Amino acid sequence: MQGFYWYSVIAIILSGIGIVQFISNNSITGLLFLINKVSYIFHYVFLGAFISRVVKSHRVKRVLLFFLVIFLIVITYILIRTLNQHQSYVIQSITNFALVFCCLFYYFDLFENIPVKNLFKEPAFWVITGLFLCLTISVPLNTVRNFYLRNSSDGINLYAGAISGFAYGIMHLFFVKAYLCSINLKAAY
Amino acid sequence: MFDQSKGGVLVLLLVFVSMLVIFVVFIVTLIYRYQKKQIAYFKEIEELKITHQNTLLQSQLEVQEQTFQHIAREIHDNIGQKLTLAKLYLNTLTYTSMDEVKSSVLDSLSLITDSIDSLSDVSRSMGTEVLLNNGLVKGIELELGKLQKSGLYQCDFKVNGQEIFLNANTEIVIFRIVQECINNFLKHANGTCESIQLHYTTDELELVIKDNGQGFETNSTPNGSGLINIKKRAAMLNGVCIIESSGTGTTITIKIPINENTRQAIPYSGR
Repeated sequence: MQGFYWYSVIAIILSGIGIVQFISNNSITGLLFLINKVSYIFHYVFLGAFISRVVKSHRVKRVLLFFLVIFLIVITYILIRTLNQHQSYVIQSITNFALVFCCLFYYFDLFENIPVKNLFKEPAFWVITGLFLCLTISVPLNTVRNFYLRNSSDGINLYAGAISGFAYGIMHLFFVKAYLCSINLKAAY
Repeated sequence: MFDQSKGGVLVLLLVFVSMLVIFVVFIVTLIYRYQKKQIAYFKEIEELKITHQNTLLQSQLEVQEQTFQHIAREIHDNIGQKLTLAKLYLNTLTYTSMDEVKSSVLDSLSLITDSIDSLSDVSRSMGTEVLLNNGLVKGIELELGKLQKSGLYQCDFKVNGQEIFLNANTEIVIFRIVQECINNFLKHANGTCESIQLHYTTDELELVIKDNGQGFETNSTPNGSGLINIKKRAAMLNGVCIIESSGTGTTITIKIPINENTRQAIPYSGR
């Protein structure tokens, strides 16, 4: 959990930028869209690095790192290709999809090692489960919204945004639980 | 427009609820399977611990049994015979000739003295007083001294490194291993030279016992050699026992880990 609070700090700043973008009704374009796109890469790199750090099995770690690098190259390529477009749903979908796989790698790794952990007291488990919850809900939701309901009314987008926001909020509640577990673990030592 | 919007919201809600259900089922299954695996793992560890304890207990009982047999054999073959003979001498006293009486009494006295000496030897070899008072190094020195005194064997004893005082139980078990090896050397080796080396490091004690005897086939354990007991005693101390033997002699190497549990916390009296 060392240094993980930076994720929460930067996520709050990026959420602030997102709110500004929403209030301005997407009238402020250019830089804000770029920040929005880059933020997905930040999410991906930070969380991917976190998961690869908590994975214990060398075999799983190697495969995970290879997977992370391949997806990073793909995401960076798409970012450069879509730099002038004011839409970020492709990057968002790919990063989220890749992170779902990273979470599955972590769960797989749990069974690869000696099962001595108490999962309910394990900070990494809460972080990754929170992330997994958020992604499980938002990935299909965004896929449906971005690829099938693109031409629908703003009401649908609002609903989809609300559900995604709800999942995002729950994820941060899981992070809070992870911080508490981390504090308890340090106190126990 | 309204219907299309309503349909879209329904689709979104359906996706949300389905994914939430899938997530909950996935996590619950994962935790359940992990805990099941955890329980199986801890059960296995517990079983291994019990098996290890049983093996240790069995080893201790076998070692104890062997000690009893040694005492019984010593009493029956040596002391018992001498005392029986002394009793026979005293029973057959005729009192006709004072010289014969004197001779029989003197013979009986000699046999009783021998028996007392033999009993003292058995007591000393079983006892731990020497070890408790002087430590392992001195104990081995005295044991080899007895062997050397016979004039039939050459003995060599070396200590490398700074001697670490181990707790009484550990030193007694190591001492018993040395005694067993000397006993094997006397009974089976037909050698003339016995050498013992102790190497102390901060985390290990290495005991090397060499002889120049006829050796034996290490794959088939000779009957009554006590090698099994040596291995069991080493295992009791979480140690390793390596036995190498050829026509020119036998080398037994025993490595015993030294940790906080095996170190002597308070020095023995007399050390």
